[in-house]
Amino acid sequence: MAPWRYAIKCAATNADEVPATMTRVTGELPQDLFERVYQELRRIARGQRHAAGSPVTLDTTALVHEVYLKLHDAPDAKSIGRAHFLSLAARAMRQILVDHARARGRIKRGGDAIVTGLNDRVAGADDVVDLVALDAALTRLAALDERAGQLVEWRIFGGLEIAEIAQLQELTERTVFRDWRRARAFLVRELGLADTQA
Amino acid sequence: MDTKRWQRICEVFDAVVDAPQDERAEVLKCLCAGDAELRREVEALLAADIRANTFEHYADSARGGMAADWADAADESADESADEFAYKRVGPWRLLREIGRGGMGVVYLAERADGAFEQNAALKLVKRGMDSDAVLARFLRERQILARLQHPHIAHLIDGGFVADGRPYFAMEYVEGKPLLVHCAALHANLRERLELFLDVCAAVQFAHGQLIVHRDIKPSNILVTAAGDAKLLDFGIAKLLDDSQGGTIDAQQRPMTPAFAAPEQLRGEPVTTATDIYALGAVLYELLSGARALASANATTPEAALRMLEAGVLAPPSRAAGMDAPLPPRLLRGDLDTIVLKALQRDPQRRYATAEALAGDLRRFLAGQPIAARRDRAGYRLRKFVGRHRLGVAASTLAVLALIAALSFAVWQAREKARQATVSDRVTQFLIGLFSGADPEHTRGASVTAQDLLDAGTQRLHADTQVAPDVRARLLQTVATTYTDLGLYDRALPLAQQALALLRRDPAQANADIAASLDQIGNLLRLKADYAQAEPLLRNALAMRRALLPVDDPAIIESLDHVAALDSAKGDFKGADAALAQALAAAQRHYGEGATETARYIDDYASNLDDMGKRTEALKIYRQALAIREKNLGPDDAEVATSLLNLGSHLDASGDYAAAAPLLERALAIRAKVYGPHHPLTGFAQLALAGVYQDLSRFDDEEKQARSALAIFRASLPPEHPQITDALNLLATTAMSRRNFTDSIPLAQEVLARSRKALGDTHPDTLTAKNNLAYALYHAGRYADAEVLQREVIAQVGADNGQGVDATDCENLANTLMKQGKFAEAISYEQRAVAIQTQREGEVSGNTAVALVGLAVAEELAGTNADAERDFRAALAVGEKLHASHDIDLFQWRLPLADFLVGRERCAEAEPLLDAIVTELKPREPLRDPLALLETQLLQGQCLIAAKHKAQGEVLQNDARVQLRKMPGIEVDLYATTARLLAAHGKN
Repeated sequence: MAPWRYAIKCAATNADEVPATMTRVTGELPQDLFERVYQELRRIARGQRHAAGSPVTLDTTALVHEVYLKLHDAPDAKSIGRAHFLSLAARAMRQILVDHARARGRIKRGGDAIVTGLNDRVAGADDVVDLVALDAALTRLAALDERAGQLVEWRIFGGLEIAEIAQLQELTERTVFRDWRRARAFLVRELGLADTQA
Repeated sequence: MDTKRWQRICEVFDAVVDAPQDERAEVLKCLCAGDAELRREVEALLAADIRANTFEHYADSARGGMAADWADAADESADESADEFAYKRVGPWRLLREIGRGGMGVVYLAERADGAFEQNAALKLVKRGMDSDAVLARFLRERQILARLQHPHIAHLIDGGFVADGRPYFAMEYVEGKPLLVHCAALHANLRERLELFLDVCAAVQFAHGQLIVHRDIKPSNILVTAAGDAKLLDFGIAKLLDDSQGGTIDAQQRPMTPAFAAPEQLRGEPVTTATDIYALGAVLYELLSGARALASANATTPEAALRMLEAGVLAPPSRAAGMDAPLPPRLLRGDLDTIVLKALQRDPQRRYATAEALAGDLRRFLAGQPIAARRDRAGYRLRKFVGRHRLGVAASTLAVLALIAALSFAVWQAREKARQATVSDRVTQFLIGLFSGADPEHTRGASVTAQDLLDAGTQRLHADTQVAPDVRARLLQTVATTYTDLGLYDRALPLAQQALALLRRDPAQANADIAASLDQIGNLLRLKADYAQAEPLLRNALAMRRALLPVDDPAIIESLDHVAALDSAKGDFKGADAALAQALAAAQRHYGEGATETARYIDDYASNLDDMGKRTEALKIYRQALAIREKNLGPDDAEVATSLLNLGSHLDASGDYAAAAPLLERALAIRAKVYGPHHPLTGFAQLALAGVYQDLSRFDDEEKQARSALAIFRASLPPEHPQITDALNLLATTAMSRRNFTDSIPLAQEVLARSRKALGDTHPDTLTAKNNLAYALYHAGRYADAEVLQREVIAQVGADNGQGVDATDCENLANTLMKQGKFAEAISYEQRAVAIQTQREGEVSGNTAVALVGLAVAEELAGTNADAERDFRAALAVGEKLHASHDIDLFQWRLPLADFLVGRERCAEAEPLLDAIVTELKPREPLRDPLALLETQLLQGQCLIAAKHKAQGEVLQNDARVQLRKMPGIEVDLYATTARLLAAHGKN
């Protein structure tokens, strides 16, 4: 075996993937804009629910994008830009869902939601990932690796594509994907989902 | 871990995943040199990486689910948002509104837009961006699956196609209804109503399983009940075709299931079978009856967690899980329903109900107040039927003549292929004509006799004719031997086959392939005669020669493989047989085609062996494949279809699914009666198989009718030593025993034993079974000494045969006989041996150990060592109570012997609470499945009343019990000591 080959690979990895500067899009939405995003998210979500009878899941990616369509012309949102707006909406979505999951955990539901129709194939999988635990693991990740923390928030709660994130973070898609792969593995391990074989 | 450390981990992780697969370990080692902790961290991450796709999928649905929940929880004010799908057209459908959304697609309520007719549907449209090839393929498969599922209790497929942008869609029956549990709660449905809805679901599942479709995700929310009260099973979308040619398990990402309802094998990601659905049905029934989840969903959030729970704990029976707000009173569930539910929820798929119909059957029996099949066997004797196998070619009489003609025609055809053998074909043809010139039915007594007579006469003529050339003679000898073999006349066949071989070897011009065929024939004959040591080298040699000489997948090679497999199987090497049969089947599929009739035979043989290996579910599936092929190629009334039906029916019978077996065997019988006539042995075989099922269904009159008819056919048409005659006699003998007609059963059982001994030898399992059965009859007829002789033989012989040593039941049986003859010391030693065997095999806390303890205590009681007896009666009850805490074990069977003992010692104060408990346990279950226990209890209670100076009252109770007990001949030997005495005491009064 020739160990230097791998040493070279390591060096290349470092040079290629750690950017000198990092774009920061961590700013909070202005409070009133957050309120409006929140209201709008809820309105659209409820609309989908009513239209649908009672689907088991909502397409949150679509939600976040719809909110953008609805609000991007608003004066205080105009200056932000699409990708940035989406990232902030993703954060709002994270807060909303994790808060709701916590509340639901406190209330301690009396049995699973009964789901009607042909659609609840994934209802069982709801239980597989605990959003509160995910949130905590994500916070731990962000403490170690801020960029990866952002990425996960946008991707998991906002449904942003790798390409959109690459644009936001001013990185190549390849780098974002590498970040994503590591972050994913980190979360799977933190959530204890890797213990048993699939 | 700090940021720096994390960065280091990331670097190594990236380098490793970038490296080619086979170099990764090396890269990891090199980069982590001297830092074991770093290496562990990266390894953990790499392990997690493998699961990451699954995680993404789950995270997606967790997010979507929570969002939906949040939206629902948000304050109500109907928002009339524009429905973007309103009036959108998909194929002939107009979308009205979205009614659901899942991982793969969106479901809309749709109506027929082309005005063809008025119809609503649930229309499933694959999500944009999801139409990757894999999803598309799965979707299309789903559509095909659904098209095959037309059942009143399944939401069926109406239509499918593609929308303009290429996405596939399909329209399903729109079910307007409420989920099962909601429906039942709203209606305060009672037990019967709940069970009847559940039976609908069982019927739907059974139907789907018949189509080789497994649902995989049965749960209460997937079952809707319409306003008319019909249950409909939804979402067969994730069903996987059992005969999916891709086979294998789908990968982890595509494991849509609900942990709380998923079977252990499903949670482990192992292949999903029909047994998986049986488990889910059990879980649904559990919740439907008790209001509680078999697996508390709060704790079973992941497959891993659910699996840990399942493997750690013992499931509480539903009657004990039912809480304060349970939908039904727990006492209704106690006993049979507990047993049924827990049987469906067995961790081991083999121990669940074999089919949804078997589960339904037990529920129907429960509703009708009949004894259920899931109950444990009562200890002691078990009457066993011999298990029959049905293969084509195990034929007789007319069929043999047909086979002879076919074989000879084939020989002629073969010969014609080779010009130099023209003379052979001529001679064979002449012989054939000569042989059948006397076959005019008018000159013969019956077809079967004709066949044998013809062969005998033909063989004589052949021996007498010195002009026949050696190669012609060899072929004729082989052909006649084959026909004798088909008739089961192996002793006649063998010398002819050996002569043929000698002739072939003498002629150096003879091709090796002919010698191989001859070796194969002799080896197979020796195998049939159970001379495995001699058969083996011949069969293996023949296979090797054929492989060397013949083209790949040649039918002769397939035949050789099949014979080698039959040998392995006969020797008990089912794994070896499996390998050979898999090869034979693969070769047959290549040579004849997958759906060819010839291939069906090898499918059948393969399935039989799976049966032997205990892979019953798989065997069932494969039997059905063979049946499907035969039905498709040959139509519904063909003889080969009947063979398939017989195999399938016999399998179901052996699985305990008698109700499903009966119609199949009835159909097989009808076909054979039509094809071969009512007096043909093949018709008799079908009758015999059917008789066996009737016996299991306790339809004794039907059983006797079929068995007697079969026996008459066999006696008239088969060689007298034919094994099926023994089977028919055994069936009649055991039925007589079941009817407690021991006097009549004894000569039958004796004949069975004599025949088995002669045909199979003294230590063959069937011979031992025959001995046990005869001993059972003798014991009940009071002929203890005769029974004892047989029982001692069984114990001496059984260990040698099965390699597992003496069975505890055999010891208990002998001990009982010894007790009846006052040989208590020896009885005790045998009972102690039984206890030791059971403890060693199943542990101290097992039902069979407790049974053995009771036996020991009974012997001790009769020997007068009362202290020992009391200790062991109580020990048995203690084991029973431990089991009762977690299993479906009744307590009365342990309470009764102790109570019997106590009453015998005039300790009524101690016995009475036990007796009361027995009554409480058994009374609600009338009509009783164990009337004996309650009658015994009644006798004992009467005794206690008499002891308490309520003489008149006690005697009324006792006399009533006596009248009923006397209706059962030989019953006294099945009673415990005190009750037996009380029953007899009356006789003296």
